[in-house]
Amino acid sequence: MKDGFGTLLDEAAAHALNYADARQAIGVARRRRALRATGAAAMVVAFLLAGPWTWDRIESSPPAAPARTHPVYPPKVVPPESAELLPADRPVGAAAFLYSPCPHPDRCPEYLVIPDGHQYLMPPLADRLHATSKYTLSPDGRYLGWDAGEQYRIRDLQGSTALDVEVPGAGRELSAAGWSPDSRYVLVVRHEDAPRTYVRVALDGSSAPVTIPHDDTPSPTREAVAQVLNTGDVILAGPEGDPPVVRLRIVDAATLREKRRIEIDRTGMPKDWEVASAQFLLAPCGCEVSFPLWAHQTHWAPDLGQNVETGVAPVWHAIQTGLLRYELTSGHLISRHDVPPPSTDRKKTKFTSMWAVKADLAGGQVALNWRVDRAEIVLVNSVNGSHNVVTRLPAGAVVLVRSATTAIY
Amino acid sequence: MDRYAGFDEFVQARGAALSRTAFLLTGSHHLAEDLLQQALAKTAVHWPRVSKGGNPEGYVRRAMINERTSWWRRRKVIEVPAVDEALGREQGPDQAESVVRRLAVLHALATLAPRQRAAVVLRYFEDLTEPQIAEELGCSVGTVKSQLHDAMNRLRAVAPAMLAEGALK
Repeated sequence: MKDGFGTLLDEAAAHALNYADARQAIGVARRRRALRATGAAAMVVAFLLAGPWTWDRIESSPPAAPARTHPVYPPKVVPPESAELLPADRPVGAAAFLYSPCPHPDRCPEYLVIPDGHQYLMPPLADRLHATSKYTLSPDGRYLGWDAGEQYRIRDLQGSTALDVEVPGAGRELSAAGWSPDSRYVLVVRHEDAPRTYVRVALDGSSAPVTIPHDDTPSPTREAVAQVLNTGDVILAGPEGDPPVVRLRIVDAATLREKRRIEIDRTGMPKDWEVASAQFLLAPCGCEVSFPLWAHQTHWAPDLGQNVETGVAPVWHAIQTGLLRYELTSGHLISRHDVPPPSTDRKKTKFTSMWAVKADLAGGQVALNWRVDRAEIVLVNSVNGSHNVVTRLPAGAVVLVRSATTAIY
Repeated sequence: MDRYAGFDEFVQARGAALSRTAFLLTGSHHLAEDLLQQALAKTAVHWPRVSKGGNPEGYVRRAMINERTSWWRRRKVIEVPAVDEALGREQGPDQAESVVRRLAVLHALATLAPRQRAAVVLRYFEDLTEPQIAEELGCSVGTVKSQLHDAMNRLRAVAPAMLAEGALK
């Protein structure tokens, strides 16, 4: 039994998650070994072709910078000429993300990308419109969920099993409303006119699916089911009547018994030309929430030095400017960090680069940057604000990252 | 023969403990995952040799400490002290007290140089002896003693309230 400072360290360390992933580590190790073997073979060939003079030069030249590798994200993804259909009966491993090379589902297929860069062709769904948005990936990439018609289907990509979730009601589409950060729970919703029906599913089989007894009638004056935590408890958010203050309630999923109430005061936090989204990202620890900040539809943005208007971009969506991060236990502001401002062409008629943060995962906040020449997946370090481009994709690609419930075009 | 035989079982068994060490070395979930995964990847590359050596956990810890030190040298990671405002709040008997304490510990650790921080974590969290720490850090026992001494002085200076009750001995 420790005491004193050791106990304080134990207490702080208890806040850690399990970050270890043997499969990813082995994947990186294999790539590094292959890279070394290729490099050695290239050196031998160079030596044989050009002789010792070249060898001397190679030996004396400075070493090249190593290729940046990431355990989850392959550095470059291009659509394959042919790809194997995602097999239904054998494991393929946790997925990095889903993408389609263009925003037109009838023209471009969709691919599931594995961390080692392998791509599987996704089977087409009945409804081809916005098909990428029909899928979701769990935060650890292990589970793939989609609307299978009468049920919501959740496939274990590391195994060959699938779980069909029955959601009371009929006639409207099913989707995942959120994953717990540890990928243990998922919220599935049936979109009715009123009220919506939510079911909480435990993916480890530790409990039966729970239909959340909340009257979730869409209304600005009512609370809405927003997220599920690692404990299985559910966050209710709203009502939206008083925008500066966001009220969150953590409740038991089966009984709605309130466990905690948090008021997040956002007064004065956004700049006067910004609005804070009611939707929030849940941090990997389940203890922090981040509210994306968006620019008004049309405004003069003094910080950007330009008139920013939503809708002139090559892709249609609002302009994200930053995130406000709050501690969930207290509602206190932890930090604000900005995403890089969008850039435009010389006439300012269209955007040439635009960012959006889509998920908050253990490896960093995952942002997408749409550029004229390519799309990029970027990891944002929320501690120091640094950005690392981890994957480059074709221009105009539609990407669905882990944990996100929608893709953005 | 699979050159990675036994690696998965090792990570399953020790991953959570190594995660806690990574978290104390970085103070951030994002950086801790990066740090641990990079160390595990390095370990996997040399797994046949590491597993024969009999102390793979020590190898991963050494890899994490060295990687953390090289981040600091490259200044790619900027130490951002945890929430100052939280440290200044009055402590209460509820869960907020534990949050404030955790932030205070991480804040104090963030003020240490990487090898001082590693020495403190190995000594007070991993309960290693000074000779064991010297082996992990690849330095002499005398250097470990001086690193711990300097670290303790620093912690007393930046977190007097936390250590006022004689917590750090």
